[in-house]
Amino acid sequence: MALSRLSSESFEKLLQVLATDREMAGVAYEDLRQRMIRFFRWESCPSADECADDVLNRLATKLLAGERISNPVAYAGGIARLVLKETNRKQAREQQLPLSGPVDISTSRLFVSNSEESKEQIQQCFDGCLNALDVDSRHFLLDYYRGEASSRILNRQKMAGRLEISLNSLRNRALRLREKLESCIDGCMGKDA
Amino acid sequence: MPESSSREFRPDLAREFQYLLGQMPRVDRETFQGLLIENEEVSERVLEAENELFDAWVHGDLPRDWHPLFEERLLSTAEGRRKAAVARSLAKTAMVQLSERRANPVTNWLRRIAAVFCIAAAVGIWMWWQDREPADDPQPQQVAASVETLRLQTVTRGDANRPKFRIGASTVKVRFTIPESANVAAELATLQGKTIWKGAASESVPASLLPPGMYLLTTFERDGKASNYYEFEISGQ
Repeated sequence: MALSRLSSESFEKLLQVLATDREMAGVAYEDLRQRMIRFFRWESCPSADECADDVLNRLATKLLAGERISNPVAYAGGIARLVLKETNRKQAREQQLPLSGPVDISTSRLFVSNSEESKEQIQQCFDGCLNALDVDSRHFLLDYYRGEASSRILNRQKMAGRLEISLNSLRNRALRLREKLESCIDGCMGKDA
Repeated sequence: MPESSSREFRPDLAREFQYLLGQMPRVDRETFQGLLIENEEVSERVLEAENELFDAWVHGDLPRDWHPLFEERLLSTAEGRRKAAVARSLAKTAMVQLSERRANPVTNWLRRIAAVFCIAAAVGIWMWWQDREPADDPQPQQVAASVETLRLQTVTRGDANRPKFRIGASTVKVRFTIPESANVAAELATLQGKTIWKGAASESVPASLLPPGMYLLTTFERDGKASNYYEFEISGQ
C-alpha cells in the first residue's frame, strides 16, 4: 500500500499539492488512486494496486525532492503511462524466459471459465454483500441492472424520472454501488480463499 | 434478446468500448490514457462501459464481433472472470426481483380485498359489541371474533414451549402478529411439511385451514431465503 511505503513527510507533501483543505486532499488522493487502479486494471497490469501505489510514491518523492509540479494529477498520468510501459516490458521479458516449472493453469490466460466451486463461492459472497447494503441501495442496484440492453435504457430513464435526478446522477450512484458491491465480494473471496 | 450489432450497442459509449476492446488507434489511446487518470468523468464512463460489456455478455446480447476481443482482453484475467460472475449474479437476482414485482399486482389486490374485509369485520364486531344487551354477555370462550389474531414468537423448531391457541367456532379468519415487518412473504405449513397457505404475513388466513394440530409459519427475505420460523399449535375446541 502507498501509505505504508510513503513516509509521512512525503505523504503530507502529496496531500498539500492535491488540495489546500486536508480533508478535501484526502478525498482527492483516494479518487486519484482509484482512477489509477482502474486504469492499470484496464491495461491488464497483473497488480493494479501495486502499480497505482508505485505512481503515487514516485510523485511524492519528486515533490519531496523539491520539484515544482503545477498539475500533480496530470503529472501522475504521465508517471502512470511510464509505469505501464515498464510493466509491459518486464512482462515481455518474463514471457521470453524458459519455463522453470509447471504452468499454473488456474492463472493462465487460457483458463476462461470459473470452476463450479468458485462460482458457488462468488454467489455466496454476492448474496452476503448484497444483503449488507441498505434496503434502498439494494433495490436501486437491482432496478438499475434489471433487464436486457434495450429495456435497461428505458428502465433507467423511468428510474431517473421517478427519483427526480439526472441520468448522469443515476449512473454515478449505480457505479458507486456496484463498485462497493464488487469490493465487498473481493474482500469476501479473499477472506474465504 | 437477439445480439445487436456493435454499432447499435450503446453508441453513446462507442469510444469507451473501443478503448476497452483494444480497438482505439495508438495515438488516440495514449491521449485517452491520460484522460482516464486526470478526468473522473472519463474514468467513470469507461467503468460504465465495462459493466455494460459484462452485463451484455451474461445476458447473451454482446455483439458477436466483440466476443473474441472481450474474451481476450476482459474475460481472460481472474479479475475479469470475477466480474463476469458478479454480473451473472446481479442479472439473476434482478430477474428474481422483477418476477416478484410482476406477481405483486395480484398480491396487492388481494391485500386490498383482505384489508377491506378486515375493516368490515372490525366494524361489524364493534357494532355488535355496542348493540348487545349486558345481561346477554356470553362466556368469554363463546365470544369468538370473526377475525382472530395469533401472536407468534420465533421458537426453536420442536420446542415444547411453542405457543398454543384455541380458535373460536365462529372465527372466519386468522391473522398473525410477528416481531418483524408484516409485509414479508410467508408460508404456512403443517409440521409434517404440507404447505397449506402462502401470502404476505400481513394477510388473513381462512380459519378453516387451521384444524387442531401443529403448524410452522416461515417468513422469507426478498431473495426467497427463509428468514424466520414460527411454530405454534392449534388446540381442539
